Amino acid sequence: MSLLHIHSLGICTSTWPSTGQLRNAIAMGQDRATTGPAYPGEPATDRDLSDDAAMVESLDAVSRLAIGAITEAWQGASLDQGIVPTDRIALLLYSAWGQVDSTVTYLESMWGDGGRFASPRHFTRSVHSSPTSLAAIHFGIHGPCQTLVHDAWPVCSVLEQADDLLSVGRADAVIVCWADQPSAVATDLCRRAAEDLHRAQFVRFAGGDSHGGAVAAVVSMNAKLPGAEFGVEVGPVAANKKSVGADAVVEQGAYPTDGALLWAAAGVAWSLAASRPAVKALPVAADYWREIGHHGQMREVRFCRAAARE
Amino acid sequence: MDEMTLLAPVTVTGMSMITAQGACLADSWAGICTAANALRPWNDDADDKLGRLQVASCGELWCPADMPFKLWAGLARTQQLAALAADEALTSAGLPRRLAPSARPMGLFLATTVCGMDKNEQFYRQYRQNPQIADSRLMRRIQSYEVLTFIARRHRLTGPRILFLSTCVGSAMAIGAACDAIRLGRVDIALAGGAEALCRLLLSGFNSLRLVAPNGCQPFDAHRPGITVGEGAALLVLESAAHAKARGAKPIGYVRGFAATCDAHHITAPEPGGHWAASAIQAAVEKSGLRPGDIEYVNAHGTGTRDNDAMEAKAIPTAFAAMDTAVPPVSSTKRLTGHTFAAAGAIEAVICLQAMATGILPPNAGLAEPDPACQLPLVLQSRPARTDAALSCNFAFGGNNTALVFSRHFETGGGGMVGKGARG
Repeated sequence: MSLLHIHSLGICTSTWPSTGQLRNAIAMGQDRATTGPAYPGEPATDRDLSDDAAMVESLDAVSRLAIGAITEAWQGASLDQGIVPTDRIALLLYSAWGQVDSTVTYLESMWGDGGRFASPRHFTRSVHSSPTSLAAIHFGIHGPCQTLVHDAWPVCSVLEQADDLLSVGRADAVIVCWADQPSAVATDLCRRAAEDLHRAQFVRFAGGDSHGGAVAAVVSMNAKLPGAEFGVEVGPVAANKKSVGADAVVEQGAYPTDGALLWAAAGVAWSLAASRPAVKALPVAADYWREIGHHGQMREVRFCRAAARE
Repeated sequence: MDEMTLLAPVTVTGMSMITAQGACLADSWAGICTAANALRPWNDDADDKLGRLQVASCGELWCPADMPFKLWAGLARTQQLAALAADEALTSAGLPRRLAPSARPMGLFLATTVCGMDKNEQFYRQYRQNPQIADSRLMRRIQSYEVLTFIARRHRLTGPRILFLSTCVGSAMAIGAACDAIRLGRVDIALAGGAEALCRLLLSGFNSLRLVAPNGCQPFDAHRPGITVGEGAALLVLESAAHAKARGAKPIGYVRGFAATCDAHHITAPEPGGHWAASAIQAAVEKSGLRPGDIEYVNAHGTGTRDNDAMEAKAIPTAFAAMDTAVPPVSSTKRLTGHTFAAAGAIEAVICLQAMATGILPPNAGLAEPDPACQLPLVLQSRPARTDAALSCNFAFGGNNTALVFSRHFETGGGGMVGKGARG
């Protein structure tokens, strides 16, 4: 387990269209009710992604959300200044459902009219890794680009994979991103799985409203890279943890992306509490964040000052 | 962690392969070496415009003796393939199919693209007609991670696990990630590879892109018509050398190097010059600790599409030229196994390991008229050749490139990277 520097965050959800707004809300003392899972609805995607309007228009929802979140993180860590060669940047993208709308549209075109008009565009977008590829193309990332899924810990599994890539020297900086689109189909499928199949892991997804959004971060082991949100160590739950706050953020979100948003919010809150004594009493500030799998297995992210170990 | 540890060879002590050529490693390898024709029409429905397309199907999969048939029948085909491959890999490594509760944690690094799409297609077909009567049981496998959960539980693999959904390089990435985890000491032993099942979405999707060869692919042929959609699974049991030695496991070979790059060029088309593919090959050879000249066989991705093969025919010579070494014998085995997408990296890794273990190079089947633009030393027929090190290349949707280097012995070459083009 290594110390990972979280240089910058990027957020693109309906609740918080940017990290700055999330940070301000936490600093103003808002609690988990408003820093937690994204509210239903289409997240704000009006971020200026590119001068190429046609390219942006052609992106599907997951790609647009992911690129929106990554853009904020990318700029926050000054990667747009070319400080890390693009072949030394890796991209890890986690999407639980992938591009649901494209998949459904493709299936419709595949069965409709004998499949004569099966849509190649929607087929390529239905591939789970297409948001990763489109983001890599958009940012010109030439390092390893991986699309990942885990059955218990969407956040910690990606951070641990980033840790591995950095530890063995496959990259100098890793973009981690979690992205899922709001989808009425996915929400309905979750509801059916929860009600008809009694699948506990779907209950939390089946709240009736569709959630979605994207969260991104630039991660490295190099404290000299620009940006310094906070440091993290990921591992099993520590037996003798020292907490500076209540266990207010020990909760899994209702959607994988919400878990990432909760983790980011917990990190921002910890960072604010650590640097500004006036906000130490924030109910969301704790020195760890736990991710709880649907069978109760837990993984823990411990926050620390990125520079403290230098 | 010191560089020697991070570059240490990872021991392969077990492996499996299920392809259209056979339901186990021995049968698959025999079919590959004899270039047996394993292609068959997708179905016999005269009204189905996809029905006549030749695919590489594994046929009927038999329920393992230790599994209730009801459970087996409810699994997605990808899960069935993965379960059979896991059984064979663990057995070949001298491990029980279900690890003891007290056993050291074993990692699981898997890859798939479609996971439960065969079931999802059935479900969605009902759902679009009337959501109220759609059989919810069909959506038990709707989440991609179901294959990961199922294999971890079935074999009691309690170490770190993750699923790669990186299409055609997925299982190569899974093998690379497992080796990283072992080298970093996160786990001593891991099961790594991929499984992919045929489904209508894949076949129809590639057909919509006009990339499916109606009568079978012809990698590197002047008139190559496209890919053959296939299915299969392959898994490797990977261990640290110390762990393998401690339990008395016999090494089959070693994973020496792995590298991944991304073209960042186009969602479906490779970067035509093969620059980033060549970069991945060079980096993998460099990390292997072998001399470039030690590589005696290359298993090419060779899908049979015009763009992939043309790019690869530039990338491989470019990489070896930069390393001041002649290109070793090359073959694509896609005609024999079909393109198994996320499973391809692992299947071709096993083919490389088998080529070294048996001293036989598999053929580049399907070649009728070599493309003059693809100047590669292709293996036209399987032939005996002592091979101590091999390279497997895979390239994917979105421009992902991977290269894996294997050796037969722990001590091979050892001269390190020499020659121009070596990256420090």
